[in-house]
Amino acid sequence: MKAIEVTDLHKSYRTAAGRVPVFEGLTFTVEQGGSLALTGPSGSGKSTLLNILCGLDSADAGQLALLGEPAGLLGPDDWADLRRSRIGVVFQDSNLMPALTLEENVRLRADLAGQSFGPVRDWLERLGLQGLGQRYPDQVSGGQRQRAALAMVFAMAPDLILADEPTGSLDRHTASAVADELFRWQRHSGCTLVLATHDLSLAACCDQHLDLASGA
Amino acid sequence: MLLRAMLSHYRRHPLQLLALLAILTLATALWSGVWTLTSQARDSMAAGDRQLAGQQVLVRQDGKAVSVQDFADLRRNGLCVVPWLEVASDSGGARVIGLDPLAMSCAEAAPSGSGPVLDGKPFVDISEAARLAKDRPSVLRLYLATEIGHLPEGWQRQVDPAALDTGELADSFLLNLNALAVLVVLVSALLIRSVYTLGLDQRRHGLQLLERYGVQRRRLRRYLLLELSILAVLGAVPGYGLGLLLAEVLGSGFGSAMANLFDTALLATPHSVTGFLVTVAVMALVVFWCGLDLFKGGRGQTGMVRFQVPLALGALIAGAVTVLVAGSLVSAFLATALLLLGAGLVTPRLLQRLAAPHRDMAPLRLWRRRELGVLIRRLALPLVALQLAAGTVIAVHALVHTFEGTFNQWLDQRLSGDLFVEVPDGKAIVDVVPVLSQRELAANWHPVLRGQVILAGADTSSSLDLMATDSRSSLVQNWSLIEGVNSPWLAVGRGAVLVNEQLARRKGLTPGSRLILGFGEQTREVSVAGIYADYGRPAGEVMMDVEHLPQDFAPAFRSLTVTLPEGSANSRREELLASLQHAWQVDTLQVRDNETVHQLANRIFRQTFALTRAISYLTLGLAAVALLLTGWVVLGSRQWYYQLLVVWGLAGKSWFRVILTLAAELMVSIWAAAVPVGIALTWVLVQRINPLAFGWSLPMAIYPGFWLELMALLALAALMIAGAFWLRRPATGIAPALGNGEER
Ligand SMILES: Nc1ncnc2c1ncn2[C@@H]1O[C@H](COP(=O)(O)OP(=O)(O)OP(=O)(O)O)[C@@H](O)[C@H]1O
Ligand SMILES: [Mg+2]
Repeated sequence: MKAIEVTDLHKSYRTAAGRVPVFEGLTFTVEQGGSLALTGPSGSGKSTLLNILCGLDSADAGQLALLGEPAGLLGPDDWADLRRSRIGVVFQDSNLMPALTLEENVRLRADLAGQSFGPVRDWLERLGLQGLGQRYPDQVSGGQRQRAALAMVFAMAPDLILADEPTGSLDRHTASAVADELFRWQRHSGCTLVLATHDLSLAACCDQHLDLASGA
Repeated sequence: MLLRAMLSHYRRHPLQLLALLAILTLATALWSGVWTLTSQARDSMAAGDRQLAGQQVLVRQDGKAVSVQDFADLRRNGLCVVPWLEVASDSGGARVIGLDPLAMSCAEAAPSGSGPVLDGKPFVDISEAARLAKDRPSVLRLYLATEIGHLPEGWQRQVDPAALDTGELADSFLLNLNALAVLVVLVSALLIRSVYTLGLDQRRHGLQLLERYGVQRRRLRRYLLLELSILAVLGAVPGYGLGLLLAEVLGSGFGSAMANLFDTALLATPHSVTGFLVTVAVMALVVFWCGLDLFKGGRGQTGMVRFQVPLALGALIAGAVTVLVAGSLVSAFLATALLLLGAGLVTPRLLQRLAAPHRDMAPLRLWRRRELGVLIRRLALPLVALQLAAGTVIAVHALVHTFEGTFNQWLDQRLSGDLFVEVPDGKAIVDVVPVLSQRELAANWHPVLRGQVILAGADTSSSLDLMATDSRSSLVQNWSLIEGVNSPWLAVGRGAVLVNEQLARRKGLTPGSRLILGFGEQTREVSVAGIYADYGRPAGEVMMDVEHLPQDFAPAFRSLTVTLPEGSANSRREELLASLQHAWQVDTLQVRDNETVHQLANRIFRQTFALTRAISYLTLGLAAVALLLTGWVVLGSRQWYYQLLVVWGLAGKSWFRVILTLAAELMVSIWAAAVPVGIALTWVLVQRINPLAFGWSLPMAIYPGFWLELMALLALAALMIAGAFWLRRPATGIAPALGNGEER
């Protein structure tokens, strides 16, 4: 089964200077349980595409089917339901509520997804955050925050993870540790992963590779 | 170049600049307006005092009102008296005072002469005043301009009754207003500071960047201070003009309130340089307070935070003790200030404590509570300002309503009766008794006589208002007294008197006290049977039975209060009046009906608190606007996190509900914090400050209905905030990520 089917997708932004196309006629598919790396120079539309894939933005033309559902039939509330329990989104940073501890953040995300929050501590521990659950986001390092963000996504047990430069703000060493966790979990749970990154070694870990600059 | 970089903040946030300017302008307008009014009032009273200081008035020994003929006779006798004719103005507002420039010349020539000083608008030539006096209520006083050995037959010297005792009351009244003005300054200073520091916080990053680029910190501070001063001037100048305008708008009502309360006309003094300087000085202080942050570096409020709670508790306890023992108005205000300070310091902490979630709350609720805690902390200043302003409005509302209620009840008692018929000059009441005894014409009636009586004291004697009526009339017997002996009306029937609250407070009278009253030549010792409420005027008054008036007492005013038979038609009223006219053999009668008098009295007395009410509502409005603005900015800085909830799958409606609940909880917190402040302030106002300031107290009453109205207003504000967020949510895409250094 296909997790994502994109056919002839067009997207442009209206600016003061007129219409600025981001991509024209984008076509690709990702199998269930597969992984796709999105690369391309800054401004090539990686974030835009991820936003479209989770319903936070919409395309101008073309078809999109997500987890077996044609996007044309999805209303805003259906998209919200999808994001709530089936699509996990990770940004480069600011994935955590600053007023909640790491543990409470994970619990909130799991609760919204309808998952029990029993194994919350397990998730934190498995991601190397043991003993940090009671800390607030501004009391841990950037890498630890990003791992907590992954814990939140894992805790919701999604079918699809959309990650926008999840390791973009981390040093090489931490970045590869976080990426390892991500891939290990993706393989283990059988969910689909779409990753936007500038890091070619990270992109190489994915089954597929889409370079938005060339459209290939 | 540097200036451009610094100003770019406001170019990016024009709304913030506008908000800051608006708040600066409105705050300046409010406080300079109040300042202008109070200083006008103070000048007017001082002018009145100067004119009347040590002045002696000539009064007739028979207690009759002085007439123009009397004046002419005295002048013909070579006595230097200065006439002072006061005429009420049409609108019930300020009065016109007529003086005779010719008569004043003898006063100026006299060595010890200190005739009235002519300044200000309301003074006109006496002929003009006399023309106006033809169809309006007026009073003629004759001031003795020179020392003279002996007085003509039938005349006696008296210290001017208008100058009596009201000075202290008037000072208290002004102090009351000044306290309100200080509150306005404090609240608006809080607001200005909170809006400014909020902007500063937003710019901190940019400023640090400039510093890293090598701009000296000293230079940065100088620029910021310069910018702040420019902003202050830009806000203060139009604000001052607006304040003058505000003073003018509120002035006429305020003038009549002063006239009613203290018998002092409000003179329109031209605006002074001092007023502007005071405005500038206050503004400089506020700016200095805002600028303090620039020199502290970093956030650096930890010291304050550590001592906040003990400081707050100390202020609350000290305030509570002071207010209980307060014997003067100044100490009462000091106590109020301490209470407000304590409340302001403790409120953010208390609210945060209350907002703190339990560990096992549902995660989304837990998030909301934590977010609420963040908002309370970051909005502490405007929140406290709104709390104090709302508390003041609650208290002032309660005061005004209690006053209106009490006053109406009192007026109903005083005016129980349908018609008030003036007894024509030279006619006797006995002539109409046969008419009034006819049951089908009048169900009930009693006479009311008014005049002056001298209260003999140890050192000086003073003049009092006297009211005489029939103590057996059922129309007066249902008056409720503040205090009284057993069956007070029986005692009055036997010769005792009742005194009004003002007189009782001033002379320390209680039921059973004894007074010596002088009627012309004759003096009489009477006992006090009770004390009655007498609102809205400073003069002391005694009330006695007509039967016990001396035979030769000459009342200045006589009237009949008549109750018409139940359900009688208009024709009956006409019939009664015709019969009275016939019995007295006059063509016209001065008749007023209950309704008209009621309306007139209410209109006048409502003005008494119009200014207080206007100021407190304006302050509330200012505080609310500031909270909306700062709330907007703070919530805006949290927008990413609210959007995160959308990313996490909270659909439109449920997201809106979460934000709305959050905003509503914030507003309810403010409301809940304001109500106790309002109740405490009400008590202090009616039980402590009012007796000290006006000479009469009011019962303590609370109006939960009004609290609900206030709550509804705040709920509306919450809806506006949530609605604005709903509109501001990005239609597509998601806002660029913020740094994760965002504080908790
Ligand atoms: N709201 C918007 N309005 C107008 N243009 C936009 C908007 N959002 C993005 N763009 C433009 O669309 C293009 C794609 O932006 P996008 O954020 O998807 O790039 P990206 O590949 O994620 O870049 P980066 O690697 O820097 O994150 C850019 O040229 C950008 O300027
Ligand atoms: Mg991007």
